Amino acid sequence: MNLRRLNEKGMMRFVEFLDSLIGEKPMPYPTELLTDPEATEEIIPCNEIEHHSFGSRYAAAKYLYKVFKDSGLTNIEHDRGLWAWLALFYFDELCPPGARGRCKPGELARWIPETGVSWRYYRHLLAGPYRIYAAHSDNPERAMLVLCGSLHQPGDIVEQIASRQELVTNDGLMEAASTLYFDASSSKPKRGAATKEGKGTVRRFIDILNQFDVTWDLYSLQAGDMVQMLPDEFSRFRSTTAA
Amino acid sequence: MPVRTLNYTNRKRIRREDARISIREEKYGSVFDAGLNLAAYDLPSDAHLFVEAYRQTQYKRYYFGLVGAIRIPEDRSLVDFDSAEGVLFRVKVVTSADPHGLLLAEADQIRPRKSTDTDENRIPLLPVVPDQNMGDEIWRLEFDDQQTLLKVNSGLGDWRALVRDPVFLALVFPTVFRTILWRILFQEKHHDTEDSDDWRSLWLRFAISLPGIIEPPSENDEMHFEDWIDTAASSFCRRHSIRTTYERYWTGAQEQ
Repeated sequence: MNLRRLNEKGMMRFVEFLDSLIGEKPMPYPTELLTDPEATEEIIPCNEIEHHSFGSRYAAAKYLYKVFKDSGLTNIEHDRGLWAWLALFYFDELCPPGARGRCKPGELARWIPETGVSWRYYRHLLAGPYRIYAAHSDNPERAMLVLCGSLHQPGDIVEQIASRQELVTNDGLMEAASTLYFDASSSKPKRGAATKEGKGTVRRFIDILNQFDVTWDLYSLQAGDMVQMLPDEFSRFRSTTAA
Repeated sequence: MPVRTLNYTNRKRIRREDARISIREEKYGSVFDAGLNLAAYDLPSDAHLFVEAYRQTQYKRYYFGLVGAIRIPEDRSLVDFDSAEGVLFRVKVVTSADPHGLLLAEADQIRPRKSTDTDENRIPLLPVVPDQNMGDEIWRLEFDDQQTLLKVNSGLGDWRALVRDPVFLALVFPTVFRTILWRILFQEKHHDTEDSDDWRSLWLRFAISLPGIIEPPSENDEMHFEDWIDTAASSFCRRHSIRTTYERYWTGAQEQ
């Protein structure tokens, strides 16, 4: 199918559909909205987009990055209508039915990106991972910690790190975070990394970096230096890294 | 003791007058210019120089070359911020030799001048920021570590005109003023009026500058916070003729 974008009317219909999912009478998936000329716009130059089952934020970001890289399209990251259309297109994977067979779409920013002032763009289920992948396109594996999760459940670690542009765009920091907390054998964060309280967790990592930030320019530090500078409470994650 | 006051590495503080930032509008969006004068700080000529722009969780970094050979980057665009309102700046000087990445000098929370500002010392106490994601809300007050922002729904059209509208002024600004003072005294427990780099001190100073307003109550005098805030809000309304402003609108609306 050719890539399109939802216009304001299309986004309103999409919101109406999403709102209905938590109400008494859930609407059926609006297939026709993807191509409705009243609700969508053609994107020029034309780009083909295919249905996939991605399985992870990383796989989706990789595919979309490949699609957009040589697409001739500009200002993709700020194109709300495009990302809203993509979220609708990949709706099945982004909103799988829960235990009672109903989809829970969650907050609107997951479907239609919030741009501008607060940089809540990262909450969009597709634009979020895409932007992280694009920021680390020379070596996306360094951002694996925030790309390894499923598309529909990004998780607390993503919220902690990706919510701050200053952290998520920092090469050394992202590599250090993935080195410490990403378990390559399971393709998941290490056990205990996302715990809200406790020693050496991702939250503590960010706290400690805020302290380093007073003395060091975090952008200038290499991942290895950063990991070495961390206090003993991180040894649990450091040692599993070395092993 | 706040961490920021410790300085084990003798990091130098760059004065405001040596790190001036101004913003101008170009066809494609806002661009900043930086006037940096580092000669007096005795910094190594091979140290790296960076300028960072930030607002809440948004951030962009620009490389300005070396202290001994400043190289102004061509791309100084702030287009990623959508609107440049409320964007603050930080200037960093960083070691290039061992230990790599150590901060040697810094100026933070630099509030840029606009090319249209006539008063060089004007500090925007309450940046007004358009936000297209506010849904059915008209305005919202947001706080971060560096400042407080008044966000307005840009979906309503000319947001600059909206905040100058007499009804908006009359109904919103006294509440905003009261909320900010409440936040500073009750939540932040901040009473210092001297620190001209701290947004909370600046707001308290603004309150004290109003007719009949004395220094805020001390930290252990909490029972008088509310009185002081009430008096300050009342003085604010008097100074800005809020009632007259609203009365004109209201009388006109009733006559129609």
